[in-house]
Amino acid sequence: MTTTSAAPPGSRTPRRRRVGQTEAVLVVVLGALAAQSWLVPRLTDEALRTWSTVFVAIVVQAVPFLVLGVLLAAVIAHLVSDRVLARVVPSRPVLGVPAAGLAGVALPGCECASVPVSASLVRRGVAPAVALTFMLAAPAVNPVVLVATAVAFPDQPLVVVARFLASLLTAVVVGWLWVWRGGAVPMRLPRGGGAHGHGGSFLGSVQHDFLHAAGFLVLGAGVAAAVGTFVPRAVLDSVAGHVLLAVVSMAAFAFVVAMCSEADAFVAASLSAFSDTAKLVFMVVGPAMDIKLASLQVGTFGRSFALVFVPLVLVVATGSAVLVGGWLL
Amino acid sequence: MLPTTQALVLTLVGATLVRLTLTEAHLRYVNDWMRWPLLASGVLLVVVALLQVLRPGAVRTGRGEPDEQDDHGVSRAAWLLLAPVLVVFTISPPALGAWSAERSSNEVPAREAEGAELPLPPSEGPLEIEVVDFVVRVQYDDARSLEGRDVSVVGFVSGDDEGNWYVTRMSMACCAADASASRIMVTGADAPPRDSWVRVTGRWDPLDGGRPRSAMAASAVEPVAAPLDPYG
Repeated sequence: MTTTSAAPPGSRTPRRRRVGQTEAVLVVVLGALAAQSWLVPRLTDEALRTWSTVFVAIVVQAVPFLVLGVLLAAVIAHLVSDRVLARVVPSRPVLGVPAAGLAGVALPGCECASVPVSASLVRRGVAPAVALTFMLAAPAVNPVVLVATAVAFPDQPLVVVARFLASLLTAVVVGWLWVWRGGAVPMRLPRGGGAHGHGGSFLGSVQHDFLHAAGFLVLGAGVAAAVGTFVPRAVLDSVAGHVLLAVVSMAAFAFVVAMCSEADAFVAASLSAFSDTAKLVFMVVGPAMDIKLASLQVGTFGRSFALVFVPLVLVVATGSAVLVGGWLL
Repeated sequence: MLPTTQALVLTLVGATLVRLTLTEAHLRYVNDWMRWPLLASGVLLVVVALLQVLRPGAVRTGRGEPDEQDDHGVSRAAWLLLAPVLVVFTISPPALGAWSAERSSNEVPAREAEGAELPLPPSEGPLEIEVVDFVVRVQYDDARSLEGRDVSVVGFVSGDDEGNWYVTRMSMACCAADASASRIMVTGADAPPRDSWVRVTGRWDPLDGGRPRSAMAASAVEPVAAPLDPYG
């Protein structure tokens, strides 16, 4: 919709003629600004307006966290010395994986922030399995998320425990699987960011990493907003009674609505038709993998990486949640 | 994307964030505490873009080498960043309204349920309460505290297929993507225009004798200005 119609005016320009690209973008945006008072009262379709509200909300909520992640990534890339890095990260990935999972507890970060951070760790030579475990754990098991979960599920402290354990289990299992088999999966980190390319400057990698990741974030936000706007909640509730369907649809719902991990517990709590295990699936899958993260990871680690990693995380996260939920809830 | 275009896109995104916070329009999309992170990251993006353009040689390398890497290391996806900028400027998305409220279930999030059993404070005249407070008391307290009390609530107008109308509030945990609706059906008054803001004064109306319902028999309905924070 607007995502696709907004990009072409700019993106066609460079293919035709290279000179004047910047000016073309400027003209398009200034044109939109000038036409604003004429356009706003005309674009009143309620579905379009609701979609655009949710779309802008997801982008606006995520961008500050992405900026923070990109800054942290640049710090790791440029300011942390090899000696410090070697001392902090265990040299054996098998031990580094659970350590990275627990390190996630200490670093409250949005999932959007943890993607560039872990990419930066990989560029600095940290074992991919360790960096990926950190990426999965940080948004899911930090204190902010756990407190939010406790508030959303009053009188059910076991839900908080189950969420912590299932998310940690997901991160560590994926990490160990990556130690075992990850070498076979091609990981293509974009040139330019990090220590080489673009003059290797600190600000250069901030600009590069942000532009690169934020584009994919916008794509994921557009799809998530469309799902949130146009798929009625009643469709979801209709499968709540069936055990297997409920689990699968909760995982799928978590993937497509791409909610931030601080908020998903409240939404899970409101899905009253579903069992506690199905709600746990929603809360464990969401921070580990969703459509905006998948889009970010395609951009950050390459498409062939994401084709393996995304389904793997979805399966492991759903499995961990079902196991832990069956045991505790 | 040329380096100058990269800087321009970065500036536009940063400027959009700054503008949203300065005009308070961010309250349509996210919580108020996001104001400072948004302002800080917006300013930072603009500063980074300016420093990158002012860097010696930045513009020269951009213009002079048409055969260089097509994307200068930045993927084409970066163009999509113009989408939210253009959407903010052309559609200027409003806060969520009747359209989304009518599509969400009236399930009150459990975080709001605390205190549902507390008695309402005494008052002279109608007591002002939140829409969500009313719905919670009906849902979790069988509305005992509401019985026989004159209350007034502020919200926007939404409807349903059967021609009823509701005074409505959206609330969110994180951003508009996770917003949920609280609605009180209003009886005994004609429906004001959809999506307009009203203050409804009246009493809890249990309707049919079965399960208690969130409904109000209105004694007065008056139009009010939309609040600054529509989700608050």
